Amino acid sequence: MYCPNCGTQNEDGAKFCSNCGKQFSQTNAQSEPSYNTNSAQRPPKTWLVESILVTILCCLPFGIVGIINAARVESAFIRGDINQSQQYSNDAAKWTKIGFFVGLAVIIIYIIFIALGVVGGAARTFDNLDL
Amino acid sequence: MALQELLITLTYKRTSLFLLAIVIVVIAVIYALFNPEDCKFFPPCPIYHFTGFKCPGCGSQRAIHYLLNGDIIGAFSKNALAVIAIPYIILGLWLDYKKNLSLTLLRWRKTLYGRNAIWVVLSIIIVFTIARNILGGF
Repeated sequence: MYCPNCGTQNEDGAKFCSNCGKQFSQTNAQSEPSYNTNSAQRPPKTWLVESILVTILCCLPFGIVGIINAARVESAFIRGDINQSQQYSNDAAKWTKIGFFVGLAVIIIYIIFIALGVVGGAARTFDNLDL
Repeated sequence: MALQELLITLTYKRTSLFLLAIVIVVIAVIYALFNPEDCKFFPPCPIYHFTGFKCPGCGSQRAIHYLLNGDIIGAFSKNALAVIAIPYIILGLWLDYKKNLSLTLLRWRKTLYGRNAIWVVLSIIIVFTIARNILGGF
């Protein structure tokens, strides 16, 4: 098990951290084996698929940041560092949402500009309606 | 009014899901009816506009238009990555939001969406972007 305070690896069932001396709470000692026995546990939300969506649909840079954050969530989780993993997950959520709303704002502004400025564009739009 | 009663009986979460579904259907109808190639209302990619390089998302709107009209080959020629990504994203969302996953599903999630998978996804996006700019045509 890993010390939640300093991250040092300790023997399973240890009462104190061998590095920083922090006392391990009972809940830590109990919850730890479930992560060891079941390595396929689900980490905090990684926002991977949402980041891919952002990459493909609107804004590449935010999407790539999101995908890298997703990898950090998984890495921290595999290390056993649940707190760090959760923190990366929050980061990932933040950047994915920023990417999404920046993209949405750009699209709405673009549509408003087209609607105001280019009447010809609108006429072409309805020509293409194959009814 | 029947619709109002329906909305009241649904819980908040169900209402949001219901609204989200309506938004998706409306967007899908717009993308099915209009071809982004001929229509100025669809925003072009700013990266392509300013740099002349295709980003991994360029052509995804046209690809969605072709997909919604049943033309998979046409969609592939516009953005192959978007076509491949759609089932991957749908499966990923389902695995993310489903509450209790069985051990088998947890293992599938780890294989397809875990740490190693994420690096594979990132590599595919980079290789795809380089390839489409050098070779062109997808």
